[in-house]
Amino acid sequence: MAKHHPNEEILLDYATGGLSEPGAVLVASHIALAPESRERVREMEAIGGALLESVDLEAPAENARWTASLSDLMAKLDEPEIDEEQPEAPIEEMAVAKDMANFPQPLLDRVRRAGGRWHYFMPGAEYLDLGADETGAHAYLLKVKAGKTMPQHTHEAEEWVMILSGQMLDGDQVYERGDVQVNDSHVDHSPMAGQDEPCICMVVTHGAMKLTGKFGRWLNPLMPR
Amino acid sequence: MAQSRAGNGLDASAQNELIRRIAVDRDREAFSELFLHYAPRLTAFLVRGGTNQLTAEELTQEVLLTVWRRAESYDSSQATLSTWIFTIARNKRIDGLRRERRPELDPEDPALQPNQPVAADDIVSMGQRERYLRQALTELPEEQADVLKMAYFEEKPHSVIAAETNLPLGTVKSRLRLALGHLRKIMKDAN
Repeated sequence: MAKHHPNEEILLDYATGGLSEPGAVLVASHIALAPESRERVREMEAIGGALLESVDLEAPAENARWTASLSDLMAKLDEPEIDEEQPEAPIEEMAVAKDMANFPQPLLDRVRRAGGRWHYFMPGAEYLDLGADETGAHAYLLKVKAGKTMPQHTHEAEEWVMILSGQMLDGDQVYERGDVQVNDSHVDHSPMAGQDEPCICMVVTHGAMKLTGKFGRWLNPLMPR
Repeated sequence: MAQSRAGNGLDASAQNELIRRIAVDRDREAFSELFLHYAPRLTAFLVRGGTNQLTAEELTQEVLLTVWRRAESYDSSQATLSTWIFTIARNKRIDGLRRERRPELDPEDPALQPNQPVAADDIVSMGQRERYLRQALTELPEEQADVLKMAYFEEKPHSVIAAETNLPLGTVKSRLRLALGHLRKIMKDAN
């Protein structure tokens, strides 16, 4: 079971609706895998419910307005619901079907909408782009070969990583399915995939990744954004 | 159970009875009662968050239409009705701003890691817990209540609250942390 949870701030932004869309996909997927975080989010939503119940109302002199609004709505109750969801390709037909078998539903939905396949990222690592939103938050999947070490790097802004399968070793920490790691410009690291199987993770960035190793900085202009 | 004190409308158990009648009997009378309780609150909540009056009233109608359509999926052991309606309103507001539907936890997800089972003795009624919570909200220090309301009503991330209040980000974070810590303790103690 997940041991590394995102901080309270991230969970609160998710519960109140303040997160970017890519960030919300990551957290919705994480809470499917991590009951402890799921419970925290439920508590935060309960606070939202209590705030809604106790919101200040104007004097109830305007009842006529609400009665009118209610009869408008009453007329719509029997209308058939229009389902605006786009038909999606069956998972089995996707190039990445095998890797997606155990993805949590919110991420699965996101990948199906994005379509696509694995692309070359660097030796031993592939990525699948999940796109960005209007806030500039960007999501992608990363698949790193067993035992492969990523080059030393830091981050211009926050990066969130959620492990989906395999292991990621970073310093003395081990990250497994459901775990979330939050990195910022104070982190300069070189994580490594576990020895037994490839590590697949979802990454959300709120700014670019920056190579810091001896040769790495010359490669920075080539990094995917 | 009797209704809560005057001006406060319906208490949680009265609301549960209404939503049950909607889910089971498609009872329009029950829906009207629930509408008249929630429509003013939802609209005030949305306006407080910066939505204009007209859009807020439209969104309110959409939220309550969803309540009518999805009534049978409401589970009173998981959340109070007000919490459920809060999450619907939050999602509708986001969907209105974006092209994509807000990603949501799927309770039927085969990947879902189950909760530790809760002993029957530990289950407190959600309505009871919410009463404690509402009381605690009125007792929060004003500076904490203000940032908490900005986070919830205006759906603002921490960084934006800091920018708009001219408070250092660290101060916003610590006020929110204190408020959440206190409210969380209230919920834990209720169990």
